[in-house]
Amino acid sequence: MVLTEIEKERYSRQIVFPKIGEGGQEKLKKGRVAILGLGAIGSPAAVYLASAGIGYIRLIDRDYVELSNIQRQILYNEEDAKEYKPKAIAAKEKLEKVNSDIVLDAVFEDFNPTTAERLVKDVDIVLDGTDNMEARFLLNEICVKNNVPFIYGAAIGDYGVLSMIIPGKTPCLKCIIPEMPEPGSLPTCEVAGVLGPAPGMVGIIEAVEVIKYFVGFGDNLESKLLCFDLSSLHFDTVDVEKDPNCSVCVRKEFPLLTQEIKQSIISTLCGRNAIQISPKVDLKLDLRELAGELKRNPEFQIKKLTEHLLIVDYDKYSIAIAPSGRALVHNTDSEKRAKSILNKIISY
Amino acid sequence: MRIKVKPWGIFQEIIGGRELEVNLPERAKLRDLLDELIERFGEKLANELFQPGRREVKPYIKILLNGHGAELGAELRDGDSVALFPPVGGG
Repeated sequence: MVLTEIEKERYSRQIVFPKIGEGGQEKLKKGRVAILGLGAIGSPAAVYLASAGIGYIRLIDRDYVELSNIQRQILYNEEDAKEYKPKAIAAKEKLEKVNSDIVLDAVFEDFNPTTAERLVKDVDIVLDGTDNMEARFLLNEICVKNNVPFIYGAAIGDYGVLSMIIPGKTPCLKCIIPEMPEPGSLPTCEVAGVLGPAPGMVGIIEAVEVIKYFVGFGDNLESKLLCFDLSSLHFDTVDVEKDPNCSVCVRKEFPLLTQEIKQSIISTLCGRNAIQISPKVDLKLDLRELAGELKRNPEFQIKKLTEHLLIVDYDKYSIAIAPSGRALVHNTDSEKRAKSILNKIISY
Repeated sequence: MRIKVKPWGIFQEIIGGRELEVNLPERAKLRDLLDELIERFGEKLANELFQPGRREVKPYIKILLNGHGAELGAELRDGDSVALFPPVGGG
């Protein structure tokens, strides 16, 4: 993939860097990356990869911008929070202004067993920018099944960890963490707090790993776990080994991916006091029409209507509904309650 | 014999530093080291390390002996290094 004269000018500082050069820049241009989760890890990763000229970046996030995100999720601003803008859309708008020569594909969807394969299998590498273990274990299964490398990265407080997972070559996430911690058993950033630059550092290192992976220079995090602690500025790398009996990468069992989905997928957003309900099929709702119907019932207050989301207040709950029918019910951790509230608005 | 313990994440907070040296009798095992640490740092460490009501390490906690995964029955030698990693799920 030959570089244009404008591209040679734009990327001149990294082309002159001997480990990249013009050949390396061409490889970046050919690269296809998915960033799964555009929060505190995904934000800086996306900026660096778009700036560096990765040819195709899929920006995946299920959530919208809230004021409490802005402390660390550097792609977003107060305006995005006021507009309840989906992170994938807000990220694309920002990154288009950084680099209009690359393809940015915004995906405002949940990553779950019904969507995962479609979102991940046609890229060269996936960056983990998620905020929970269930998504990471699902990502692990889908990447092992489809032979797609991914970079595991996570942070809490002032502490971050990373590893590069190349199916067939390195240990997978299940080799590194043999059991998926029960949802709710690990501290989340909402509960334990997080120093913004800790996940930021994870995102930056993930971006470096992607660049090195495409261009082919330096050491990488294959079969290694990098841990750092920003309070003590202590970095360490330890070797990790493949589990010879791993159910995912050796025995090729994919329980999360193959679980039976009835009409919807319900997930608890740990530490956020919110429940997400994703219908199995796209309901293709007309949000304007739905808002019009709800307005007739005084129990509902329409807080915001955009092309991507309808935000409705009902009693003490706030409900965000996307055109697909996917909904976030805030202020409850009861699935049953969330379902019954949502059933007043849309029927599945 | 002297064993180096390198805690990460929550274990660093509980143990209060990034490295700790523990004196153990010869032929002590990895399990003895954990018992010694819990003796010193109490229930808070036990709650993070062990499954509720059992003296079994939570399945998602990684304990490396000189950089490699090890069973609790592994015998320790003078100068060994043991790292404790909690899983990290945030982001």
